[in-house]
Amino acid sequence: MADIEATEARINITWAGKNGDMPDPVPYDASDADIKTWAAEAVSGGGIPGLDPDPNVDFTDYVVDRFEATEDVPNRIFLRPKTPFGDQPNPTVPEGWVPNDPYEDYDWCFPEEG
Amino acid sequence: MDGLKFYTHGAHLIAEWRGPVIPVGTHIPHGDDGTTYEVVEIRSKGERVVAKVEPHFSPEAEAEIDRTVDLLMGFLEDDDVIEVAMVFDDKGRVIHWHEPRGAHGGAIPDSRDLWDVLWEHRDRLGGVAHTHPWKGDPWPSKTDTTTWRACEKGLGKLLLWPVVTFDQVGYWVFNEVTGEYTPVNPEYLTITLEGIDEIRRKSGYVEEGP
Repeated sequence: MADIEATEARINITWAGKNGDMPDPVPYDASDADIKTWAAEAVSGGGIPGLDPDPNVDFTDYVVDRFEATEDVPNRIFLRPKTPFGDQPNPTVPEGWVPNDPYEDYDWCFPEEG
Repeated sequence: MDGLKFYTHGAHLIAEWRGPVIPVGTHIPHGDDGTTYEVVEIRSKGERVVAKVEPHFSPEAEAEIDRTVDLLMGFLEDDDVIEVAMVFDDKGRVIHWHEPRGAHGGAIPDSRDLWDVLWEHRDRLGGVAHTHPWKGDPWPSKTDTTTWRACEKGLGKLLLWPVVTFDQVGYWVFNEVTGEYTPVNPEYLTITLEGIDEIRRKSGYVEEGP
């Protein structure tokens, strides 16, 4: 595995009953969306030691947990299933719209008018 | 105004339709009780029209909303009622009680600790029950079913997901043919689930006297 810089982290992925680390580190401050995309590409292509390749891998309902480095352990990122229950807010938003953007910002709504 | 529909976007109430742009201040009728939605901002693109609207409820609708809000707020603020989860093994025996900080009568928050329990016991895991602390049908929420599916994908196995209300229990499993969660007749369960009375008590259920 590649060495890890102070600004990087190793991603640990749990999928289909198995668990493994991505060989290449990623920026510790990468967005959750980027982490899920990179992880999905890696699992799909069979790039995670210990995990079976799965072209149908889907991390949509997964959560990214980040743990800062200690003296003994470098930065770690864990990608694991979410676990909430109950009635969370779930507004109906049309396909292609970005939830929770301020309505006053019309650039996202009608981009060519921005 | 073809295809008129209303929905929430963040904290805003939105009306969308295909057709003419109407002036700000116009009241869009809704239902047959006199309720209207007043257009306060409006944008269009081709035939698509999107308007930020504010409701003007009829007195009857206002009263009904007040009753519903009072009921829900009283329920959510009731510290005596709380959602609780229970992890059980493939024999139906309780492995772990999940009563995290931040849970209330309407939800249990995401928890890495719960995931760690599921992962640790994955070989003998039977499922996770959780309460909806009221009397009524044990239907899961969308949050429930997406959590169930994510956990099953992570664990690589299907589980039993009981939803326990104060007077019913629904036993839900993933149907790989339909791709949806469906209730199972308890007579066909191969396990006897322990802890149903206890999870109700932990959720605040008090047995009514004779």
